[in-house]
Amino acid sequence: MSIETRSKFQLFPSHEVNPSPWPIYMSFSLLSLGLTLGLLMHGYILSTWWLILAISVVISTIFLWTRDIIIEGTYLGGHTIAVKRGLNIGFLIFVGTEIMIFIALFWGYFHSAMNPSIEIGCQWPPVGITSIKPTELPLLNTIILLSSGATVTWAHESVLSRNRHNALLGLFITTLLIVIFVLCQICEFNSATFNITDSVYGSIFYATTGLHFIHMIMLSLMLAICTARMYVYHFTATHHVNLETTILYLHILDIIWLFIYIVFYWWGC
Amino acid sequence: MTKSSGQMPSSLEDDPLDGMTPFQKVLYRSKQQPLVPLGCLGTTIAVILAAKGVRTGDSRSAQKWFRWRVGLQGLTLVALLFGSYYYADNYKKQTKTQEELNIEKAKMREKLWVEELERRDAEIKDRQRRAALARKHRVEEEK
Repeated sequence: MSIETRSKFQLFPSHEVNPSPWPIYMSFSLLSLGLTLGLLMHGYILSTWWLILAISVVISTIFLWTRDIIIEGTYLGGHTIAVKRGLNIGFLIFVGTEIMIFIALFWGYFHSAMNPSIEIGCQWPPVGITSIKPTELPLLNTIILLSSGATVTWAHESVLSRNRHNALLGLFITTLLIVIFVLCQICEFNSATFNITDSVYGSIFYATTGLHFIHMIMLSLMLAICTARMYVYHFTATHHVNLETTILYLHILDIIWLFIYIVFYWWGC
Repeated sequence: MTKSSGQMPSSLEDDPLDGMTPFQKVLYRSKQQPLVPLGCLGTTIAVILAAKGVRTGDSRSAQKWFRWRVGLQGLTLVALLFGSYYYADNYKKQTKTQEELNIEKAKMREKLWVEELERRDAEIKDRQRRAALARKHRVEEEK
């Protein structure tokens, strides 16, 4: 092999990224989102347009950054086995932090529910709070999420067994189910008889289910992108990091919902 | 002592969950339906093993554990639903009692109203009788 030929190949498995503006851009957009959200909730900002602007900046940064990653991984061949392993570990650490957030919220819930204080009438749910019936919309939501788990597993199996048509169909149905879940949650939040300012119950309920709700919105976007990438032949049977991490994310959010359903809706009502 | 299911104390004397702290309630229900916490545990383990499969790049193993995850979660949900309907949980009892109380209240009101009407009727009849009597007296006096 001549030096000229050798120079066309990368001699190490890791991926050296080019200088990129997205990390610092992302940091500032997240700072802006956090500040806007906090100031809006406490009445220092009176217009939600600032929040919409902050969210748009975050989403567009995610879009531009992941566009670069997709170009590096799919078109420039930067994602070798070692890089894939690194991406997977990074994703798992991210999932770990997510689980920690939810553990903190469950901790807060149990802290208030196990020994209800005198201010809320020594009972859980507090005096005057009518909790949401677990056998109505939440049960439907649980069933929707369970079926989305089944369809996404079918899509994964189809990708592994090189069945493009079934994989596309599975991913599309899963995206649809998650969107339906999000719409059902909006209905539930709108028709609930309490809001986030109604005692510790309302606060912890909306903090947890609302955080899960935001995750589901992100998941529907991720699934839509996976469906689109599947459609334009980005994934192969052996190389589909984006797809596999999205599927794992769905399963993790599914079991978090199972715990939320049992603890918040079933045992807490 | 906390009253776990508060508003209607009189009709819930036979409820085993009454007077339990929420922690005792969770323990009680876990013992009543052990499949639910076991199913949750199994589902979590399946997801952890699937995550291990994804991390090591073993997609086949991940696929297997994803299937276990969906199956176990389905079983947990079925156990939760059937168990709760079987034991006719606190929530259902409470709403039923509420309905019965409402019916009782309506019946009581109806009864009271009928009594009131009868009383008014008797009063009117009494007045008519006295008026007739007074008229008779006047006729006799004029004679």
